[in-house]
Amino acid sequence: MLILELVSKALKRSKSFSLIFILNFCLAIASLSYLQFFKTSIDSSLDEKAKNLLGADLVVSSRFPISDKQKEQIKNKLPQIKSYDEGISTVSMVASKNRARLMELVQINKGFPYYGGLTFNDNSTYPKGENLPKKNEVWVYQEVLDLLELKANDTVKIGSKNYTIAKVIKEDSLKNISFSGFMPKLYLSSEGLKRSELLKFGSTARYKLNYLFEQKLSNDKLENLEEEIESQIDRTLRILSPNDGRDRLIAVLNFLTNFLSLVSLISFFLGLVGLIYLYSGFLRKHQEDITILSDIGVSKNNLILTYLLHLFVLISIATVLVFTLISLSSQFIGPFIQKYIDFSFDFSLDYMFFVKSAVVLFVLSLSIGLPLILPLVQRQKRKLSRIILSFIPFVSFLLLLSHFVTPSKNIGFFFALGVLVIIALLFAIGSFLLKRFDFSGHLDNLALSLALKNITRQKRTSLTLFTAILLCTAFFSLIPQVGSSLSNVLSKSVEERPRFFVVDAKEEQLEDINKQVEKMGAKLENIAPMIRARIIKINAKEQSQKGENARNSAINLSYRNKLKPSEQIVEGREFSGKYNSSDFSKPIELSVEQRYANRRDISLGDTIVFDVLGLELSAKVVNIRTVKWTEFTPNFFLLLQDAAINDAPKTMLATISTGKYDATKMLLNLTDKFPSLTVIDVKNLFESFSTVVKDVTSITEKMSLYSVAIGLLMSFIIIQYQMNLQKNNILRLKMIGVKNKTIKNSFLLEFGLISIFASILGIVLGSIGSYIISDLLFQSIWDFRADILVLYFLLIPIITILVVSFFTSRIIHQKENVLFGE
Amino acid sequence: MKKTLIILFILTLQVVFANTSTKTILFLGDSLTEGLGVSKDKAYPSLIEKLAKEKLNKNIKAINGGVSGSTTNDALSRLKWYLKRKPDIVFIALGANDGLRGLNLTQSQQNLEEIINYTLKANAKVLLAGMLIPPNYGPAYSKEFQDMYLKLKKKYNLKFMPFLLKDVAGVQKLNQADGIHPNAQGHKIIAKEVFKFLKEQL
Repeated sequence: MLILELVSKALKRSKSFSLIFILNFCLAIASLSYLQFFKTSIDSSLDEKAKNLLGADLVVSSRFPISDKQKEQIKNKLPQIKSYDEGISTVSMVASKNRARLMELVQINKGFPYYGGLTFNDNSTYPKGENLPKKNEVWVYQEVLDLLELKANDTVKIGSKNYTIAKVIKEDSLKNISFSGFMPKLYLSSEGLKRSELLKFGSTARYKLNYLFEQKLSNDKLENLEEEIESQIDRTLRILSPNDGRDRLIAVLNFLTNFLSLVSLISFFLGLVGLIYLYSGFLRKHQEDITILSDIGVSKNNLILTYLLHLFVLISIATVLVFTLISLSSQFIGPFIQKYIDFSFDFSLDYMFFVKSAVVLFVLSLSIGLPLILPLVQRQKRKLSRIILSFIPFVSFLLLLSHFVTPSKNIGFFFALGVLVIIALLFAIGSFLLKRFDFSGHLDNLALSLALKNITRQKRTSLTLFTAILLCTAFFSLIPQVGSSLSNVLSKSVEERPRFFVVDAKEEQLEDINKQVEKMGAKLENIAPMIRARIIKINAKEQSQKGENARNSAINLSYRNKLKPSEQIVEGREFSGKYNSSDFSKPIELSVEQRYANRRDISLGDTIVFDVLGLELSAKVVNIRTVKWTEFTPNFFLLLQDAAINDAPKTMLATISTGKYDATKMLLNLTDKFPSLTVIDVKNLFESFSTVVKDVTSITEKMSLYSVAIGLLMSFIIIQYQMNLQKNNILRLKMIGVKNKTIKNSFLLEFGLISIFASILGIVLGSIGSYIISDLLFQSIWDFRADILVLYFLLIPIITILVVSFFTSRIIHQKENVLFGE
Repeated sequence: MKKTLIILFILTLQVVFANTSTKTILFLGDSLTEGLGVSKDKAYPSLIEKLAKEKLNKNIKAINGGVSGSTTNDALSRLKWYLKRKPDIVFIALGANDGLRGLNLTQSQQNLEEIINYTLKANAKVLLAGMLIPPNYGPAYSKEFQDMYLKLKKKYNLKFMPFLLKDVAGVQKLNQADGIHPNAQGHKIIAKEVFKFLKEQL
């Protein structure tokens, strides 16, 4: 009861502090909470989209007709089934009068897909709306019309029968974003497929069982079910759950959520700096109260509980405010974000999110409150080691939280660790320097003299302010630079990604292909030789050539003299030049892609023996390299030195750039002139990616601004609060007759000096941080933004000077009795 | 006694001859020849080597020149590479990927002709294995594909095996889960059939 009374009194007596504290904390957790909430919504929307890609809860697929016995076996392992569908797809030569092309025929049944569906050019939809195609009708992708030079309602020949093109598909939720899905699709009814008489003994087709369950199961549960059934059934059957498609979307959206997580973590850290700053100031101000309470017999435990509860109440009020805001705004945010991302978000409230957040905030108040409260209650000087120890739970909490709010492994953890190490270093080096250069003399300029004395005497205050401003500027320069690097590389990859992949070209054909491609206004790029080989030995250890291992040992080799700009050596050196041993007595230099090296346990300096079509060659790993994921051009896990195996049998891969040319004409021209060439149109593969990328770029820019705005408010609060603490100082100076102008100048100099030095260091650290994050974590090329650096370098000191000037003017013009009253 | 000695001498000579005149056969093909998904020693070229030893007591050297995904377009450069090992026989088992990718078969035929001409120039014997395209590719394309081999057989008067995957294609238990590539059991059957076709040449 006493504790509650004391807490209530503390709240009532320091209303302005409570308001600043709550505002500060609201800002700190707002972006983090929104992001977590946003992530939950993204997750559920992705779940839904992934189900649309699959069309069902679970799909069983096989290259062979699935027997009744197999169907029964599967059924027994499944939860209650609501709907069930049997689909078939196959490939066939589809012909118009002038042309024939290999295309995918998909049998569509009534009511399927259970999720998603088709939208046609006339805006009608299926399964909601349109009936199945008639026996002699097909629904086709636009590409089918382009490639066969047809239009809607024309006739195509499938097998030996003619079919009318009844509908042209505009959108297909089942569109496969993988290489197997590059063929244009035609949908027909089961009667239509039977009519074609294509499926008979020896035909290749994919048979699918599509299930929709009574109970709504999460995608993760469906994935568990997939794994469970797959381990128990015939190996010819493949089980697919929605998460198989989700992974592809996640890969793209991970970059967005990683970036947003870092931005929100930054806001959170800034808020925590403010929180620690504000609350230790509050405790110091109330140290007398603590002493009196302790003297009149209030136990230490009760005192600790009182201030912990006080902190918890403040944090809770801020949390409730933010959560209320989230709840109220969630209905409006969906359509707002949908404007930026072509993705339907489900912004329904997840109450578990609030419960989890409440627990997190309770742990936060406990872990941060104790190290701040204990030293004041115990009234004895604590050893540095004990102070450091007492902050360990808080630090661990921060690291854990950072780890869990970022989707990619370790990004948040290392980011938080980096920030904490920088703070610790700043305090250690700062204390040492201030102690060393303790200013005790006088300068002719009284204002400067006072400012320097203040900085060196109030080490803790100076260092806290310095750290707070440094973190602000560091983050200000970091966020836009990372955002700009990320969006630059993403949009670059969208613009520069190829339109076609050319496979199976002969070396001697390249010149003619190039001429043809250039004539049509595009470029033949990324030409790479591909040589088939097998890995026989790694460091004298024979590699198994049996079963699945045989598949793994078969690899494609390529050769080049130099690495591409998008590749980076992480270990080792570049190739020494062209290979020059005519009898292969010298090992060939080899470059291995990092992830492949990890998977196959290959290290720098290892010797690998290849069987290049009967010829055994020894190669030595001279470097391990990374390949940038955004490149989207042919690349190889294993690259050999130029001139070693150049005359080995090979095929050439290449890409054709995007451009303003007519893609259908390009495809038709190339396949007509070079009939043995395989030209893959990768438009579909990248289409969804490029849309998401453009939206992600727009979001990162806006989030950067939001974080900067929070940071500015935060620095305003900190400086303002710091100024309030200086009231006594100002009063003392006034009492001894120092002129108002000198007092004001001394404060302007004190805060200005701290602010300028903190800004310079902050910008340098922020730029280094942005380089590390861009280069290592997002695998993107660093975009140095001098304009942003100049802006923030000037912005923070100017704001500091303006705030200080405003508050000192206000305080020094107050009468002494008002200042005493405070 | 003299007669017996002469017979023994001739027999010994035969044995010696059989063991020393090792024929080299190059199997120029795709994943079906390479043995995708089975170990190299269980792919049909290796099995034929064993069959020759078991059934004919002949040592032959089988070069597995199969590469997964290979079309007729890229096989010529491989042939040139393998001709350095001077094969006596080149068993051409190509074209499946051309058909499965729906490529223009006039070009595929031209590619195969180049391969045949190059082999003949190198004084090696050409044996041709035909393929059939799955019926779902449509009757017109399937026929065109089948005719391509027949035209080649006629034009070059080749010894021709009509279908490499005879009795294997479409049989679930003889194929891997992809339904296209034979498993170890399937390769045994292919080896038996190819051996039957080859043995006269050995």
